[in-house]
Amino acid sequence: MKEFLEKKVIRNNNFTLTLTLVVILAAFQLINRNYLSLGNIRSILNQAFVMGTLSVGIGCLLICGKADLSSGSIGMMGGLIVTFLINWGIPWPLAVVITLIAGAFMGALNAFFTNVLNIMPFIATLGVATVLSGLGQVFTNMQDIPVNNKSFWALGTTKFFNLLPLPFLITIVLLVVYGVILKRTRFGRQVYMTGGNANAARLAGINPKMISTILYINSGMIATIAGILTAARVNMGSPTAIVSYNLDAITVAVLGGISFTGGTGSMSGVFIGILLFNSFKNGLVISGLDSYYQIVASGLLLMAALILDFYREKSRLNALRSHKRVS
Amino acid sequence: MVEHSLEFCNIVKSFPGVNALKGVSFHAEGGRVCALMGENGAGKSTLLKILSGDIRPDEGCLKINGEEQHFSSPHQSIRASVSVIYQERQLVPSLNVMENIFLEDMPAGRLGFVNVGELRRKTHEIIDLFGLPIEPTDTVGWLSVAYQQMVEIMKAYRRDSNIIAFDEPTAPLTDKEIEILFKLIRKLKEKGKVIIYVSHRMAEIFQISDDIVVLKDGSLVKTLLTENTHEGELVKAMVGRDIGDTYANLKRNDKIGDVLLEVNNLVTYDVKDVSFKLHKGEVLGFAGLIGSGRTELMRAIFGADPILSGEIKIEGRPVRFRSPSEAVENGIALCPEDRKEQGLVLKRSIFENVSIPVLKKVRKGLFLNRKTEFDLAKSAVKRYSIKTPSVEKRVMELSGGNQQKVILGRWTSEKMATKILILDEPTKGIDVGTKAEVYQMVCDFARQGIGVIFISSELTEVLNVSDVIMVMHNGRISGSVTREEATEELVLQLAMKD
Repeated sequence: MKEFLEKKVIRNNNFTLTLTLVVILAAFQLINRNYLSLGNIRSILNQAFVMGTLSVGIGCLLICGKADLSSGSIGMMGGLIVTFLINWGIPWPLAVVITLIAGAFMGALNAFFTNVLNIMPFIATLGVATVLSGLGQVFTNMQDIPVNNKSFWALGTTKFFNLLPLPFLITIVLLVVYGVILKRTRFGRQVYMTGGNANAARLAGINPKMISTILYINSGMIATIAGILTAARVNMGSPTAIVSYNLDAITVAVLGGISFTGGTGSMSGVFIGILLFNSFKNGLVISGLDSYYQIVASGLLLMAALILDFYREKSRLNALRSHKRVS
Repeated sequence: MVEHSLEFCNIVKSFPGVNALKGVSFHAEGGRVCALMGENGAGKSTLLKILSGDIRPDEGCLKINGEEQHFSSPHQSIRASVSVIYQERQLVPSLNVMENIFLEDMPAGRLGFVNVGELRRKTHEIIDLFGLPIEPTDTVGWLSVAYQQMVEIMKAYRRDSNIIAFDEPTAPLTDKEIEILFKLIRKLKEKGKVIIYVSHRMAEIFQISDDIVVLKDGSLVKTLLTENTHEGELVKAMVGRDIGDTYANLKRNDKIGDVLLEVNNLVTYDVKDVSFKLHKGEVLGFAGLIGSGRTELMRAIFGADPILSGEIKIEGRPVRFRSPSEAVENGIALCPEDRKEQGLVLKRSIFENVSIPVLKKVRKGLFLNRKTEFDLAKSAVKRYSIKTPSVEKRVMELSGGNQQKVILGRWTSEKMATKILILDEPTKGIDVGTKAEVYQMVCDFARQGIGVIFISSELTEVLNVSDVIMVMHNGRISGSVTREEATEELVLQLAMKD
């Protein structure tokens, strides 16, 4: 029984997380009966997609054992770039494509610092994030810039069944696609093996630097998708939008069961992590707490996620220790 | 002068699957240097770790000046006036010499601040006593390895430890520095300290020691007075053991084929001018002491470490791999020495660890074919009788021997076309029964026409499993012998040749 509990409950994140999600939903519903109303669910989903999109890229990187603290900043830059391009008269589909390329380039910067200059990912990506956030403010003079294009706006505001916003659906598609890539393809397997033990993976014929370079570029592109969708939803490019998601996206991924030390985790976990995180934050607001408490909540959730990760890792290490052989 | 003494009383220590020490007792007197000798794995390091309080013995105790001691932490050992100086120095590289020497015991001035003047004066005294050309304010990280070692020794001296143990202290030193070290040791000896000295170098042992204790497979085999013995007797004591039937019953390969791998004048940062040939179906043993460059040589051939110059040919074709993945594609496989750190992805399952190098071949269209992967892993599990309920089990949950078999399974799976298999200490940390299995596997690989490189620090096994034995010393090949002509004495002499 104990083994069953440990295996199915502690180790199986998705089960625990879903349970937690249900508890949270129920609790807030008791506090405020409008919590599970159609309007509020829509608003949760509307917020959820940004973090969701970002954590797809971050999730892959974390599984590969690399950190990325710059996704929100890259996303913000993406929002600005697409706004500028559209305002210069470039057709919006082309503007989106150029922005994605710019995102890839910003991701490549992270890869360059970590893989070529061998700077710790934590520091390197934090540096890139700071520079980008600053540049965003320089370019805009701290002003939000409206987008003059109606059809671009539709990208952010179209809803399906009067409930599911297009950006949220895009997030779902990304989660599914990357989930399949991770679990079913050669590349995905290489990501897991590199994250589990980069040394061993290298000696078994994998090129860990190439894998993480691809993932950094990928994460940059995905981050700009989040930025583009945000710009489309609020119809403006903002130098402050979604920068704060730098950390939130990591929280979501770790909450969803992706280990900080790499090698484990899944996109389905991330999906539940997204819902969990956003329902919790939204719940606080709807319970009448000041919106500043959302920031406090983000911090607490990050710590909770890390503590959870620590214990998961510890139970793995215990399993390891009990079989340790010393020569 | 107080006479100090140290006694090991019936020390027993076992690690899962390995009896590291099987009841070792001996006595070391103050004012004498007691040398501890034995092959790799004889139990010397374990003994030192018990002395330093790093690990606790299962049975037995230490007696210091006749008083029984049971250390449960390094701190207690230091308090009992013991200093163990390991090969890996335990200094803080970013601090300077005086701070390191007085690390746990800074002279305090007013208000509890460190009295820097006092600190410098005291450190100067010690440095002068030792006659070293360094300053108290030199940053330790910037000193040469040899001087770092000296700082470590000064630290032990400053603590005024009564018992000082050295673990291969001369390994990083030049001859001149060894002279300084020996002068220091003699000075400590005159002060009546107990000195334990672990080394592989024959010449040194005869130069510095008074007593010699010989360990073998965790037991004490002989205690000798240095002045009454000679090199031959010592070597014999170190190697003399019964070779069981394990080796006689091995089914070996008797058809050795053409040259498979040829290495000419290979030079890397750790390897100097190495040349050798490996034939099809041959087991080529590499003997030598730890740090003699065997692992580094293999990593360079495998493309894991840079090559400075030299030539590598596979089946007559010159190759130079820039990464391990190129080596793998060319049919070379490496089972690294440290299988947990470098061999396996412990967090992941058996089947994933088996299929890593052949992912391209287990695909169906874009996607990996789970069934093919499982079949691959299941066949490895069956072939090598890996004890596991399922191939989805994470590798960390297996025992050391089974983990090793997973790596072997990876490199010899049906989808791999391994031509050259490099095994670096494949029996390390594996129990005796599984060792015998591994020997037979090695011979089986050879019988399939694979060229096997077999690195081992255990003389008996490398001598009895290999067809030809290359002996390495200080990054060079110091000799090669065939199995028929090889004796442990001969190989040990080549491995220790100064």
